[in-house]
Amino acid sequence: MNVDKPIKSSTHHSLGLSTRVTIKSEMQKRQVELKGLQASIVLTLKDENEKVVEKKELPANSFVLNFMRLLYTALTASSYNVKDTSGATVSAKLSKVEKHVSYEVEYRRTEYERIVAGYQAWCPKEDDSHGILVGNGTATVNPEDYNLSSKIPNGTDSGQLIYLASEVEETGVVGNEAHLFLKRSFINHSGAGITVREIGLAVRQFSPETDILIIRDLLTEFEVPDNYTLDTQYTLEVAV
Amino acid sequence: MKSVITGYIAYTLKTKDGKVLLKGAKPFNSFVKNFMVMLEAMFKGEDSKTPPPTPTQAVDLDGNSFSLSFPTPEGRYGIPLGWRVDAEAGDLLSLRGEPTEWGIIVGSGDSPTTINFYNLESMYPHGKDVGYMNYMSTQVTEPEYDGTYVKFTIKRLIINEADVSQVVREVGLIAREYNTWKRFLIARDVLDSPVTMPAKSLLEVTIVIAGVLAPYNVLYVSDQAVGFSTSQVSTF
Repeated sequence: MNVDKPIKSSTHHSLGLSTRVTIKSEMQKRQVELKGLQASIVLTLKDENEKVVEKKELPANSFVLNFMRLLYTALTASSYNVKDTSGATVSAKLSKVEKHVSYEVEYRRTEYERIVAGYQAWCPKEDDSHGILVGNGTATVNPEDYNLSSKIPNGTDSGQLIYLASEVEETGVVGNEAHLFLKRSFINHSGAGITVREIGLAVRQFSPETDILIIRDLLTEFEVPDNYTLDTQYTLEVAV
Repeated sequence: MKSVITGYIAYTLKTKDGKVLLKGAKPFNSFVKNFMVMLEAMFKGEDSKTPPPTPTQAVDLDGNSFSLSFPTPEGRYGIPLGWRVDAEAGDLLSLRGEPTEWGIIVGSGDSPTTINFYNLESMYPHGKDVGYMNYMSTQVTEPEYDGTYVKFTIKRLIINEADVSQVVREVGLIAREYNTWKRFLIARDVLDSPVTMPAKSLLEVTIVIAGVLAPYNVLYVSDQAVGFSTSQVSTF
């Protein structure tokens, strides 16, 4: 695809003057289909018998600034300041960390070393700090967003959803496209319907340990009745 | 509103005296599978207590599969980070005995990119003879956000030190892992028109990675930072 060239001005006209001026050239513009990394969302609503009652596929429109900042750190092995999900400015860095873990259960102390790395988009069930998150906020997506507008917390109380594990699948190839699925299911045991209006993806880094939102999308209202399950999937895709 | 992480490639051919011979640009269309594998490795990471599912393997420049990994925890001897594209100058890497062909690399192949490409079709390795290019360091700028899109640029100056012209038809972006020095291609594009580099000429290649936060903006034609002029001086 050729790049549009600036419109060239005439180069020489003799008007009996010797004034030197700059003629602004108007840029030619045309639409091009940009390829690159794109994302989409699949929402599947299932009843208490696991029967699919509704399924929606829609484009994920909103990589936020943090995504590009993390990509920069990954390509340069450097750090860059971002806002974590609490709004605090932190240094993001794709790195590996050794943690000393210590806890006590029923008077029995357990200690071990745990080595963790990456910008982890997976997390265990009932952890609503990162991975795929859902909310009921309606604030317009802003590139500077660092959290959902109003996250629905994990739980079984009113207004809460049970977060199952957030998963990152393996990269797949179909034709000349490569894709990566990220999935998470949410169960409503709150006793009443819950409306989901936004969805996002946050990752956990470990140095310092914190969570960083990288995608946020607004949804048309998606009602999850009591005892129903909402399956969510982000698809990241590149094509040549 | 639709967002996409995309970009463009701009190139400027100059004589050894700095006179501009040619400028061009094209959309950056060709992230390959390794790019997605890299994202997967980022998003899975590592956890010694609860290992995530094994990540998909990347493919190195020789066609061998390997797992992208993070070498050493912080605080221990070694570097805790994963990989990078900001390669030093080829001469410096060569002096240190490290692989020289990574960062922005050019070649003479022109076959269309397919998703499983793991190397340039016909790379010019680092060197000064016929069939080689002298690669200066690859520079990466920090992300900039102008309200419409966020971008960072990856730039490299490449010199044809040979005494004959050499033709560039393809541009690749290659990352290098820290602990293994394995190199993996993450993007490759074929130029719309071949660029013939006269003997001793310089080619400045800029890859702009841009996060477009609005729908299908034409974002490259007005970017003066990579050499596009919006005005022309005339005398009358």
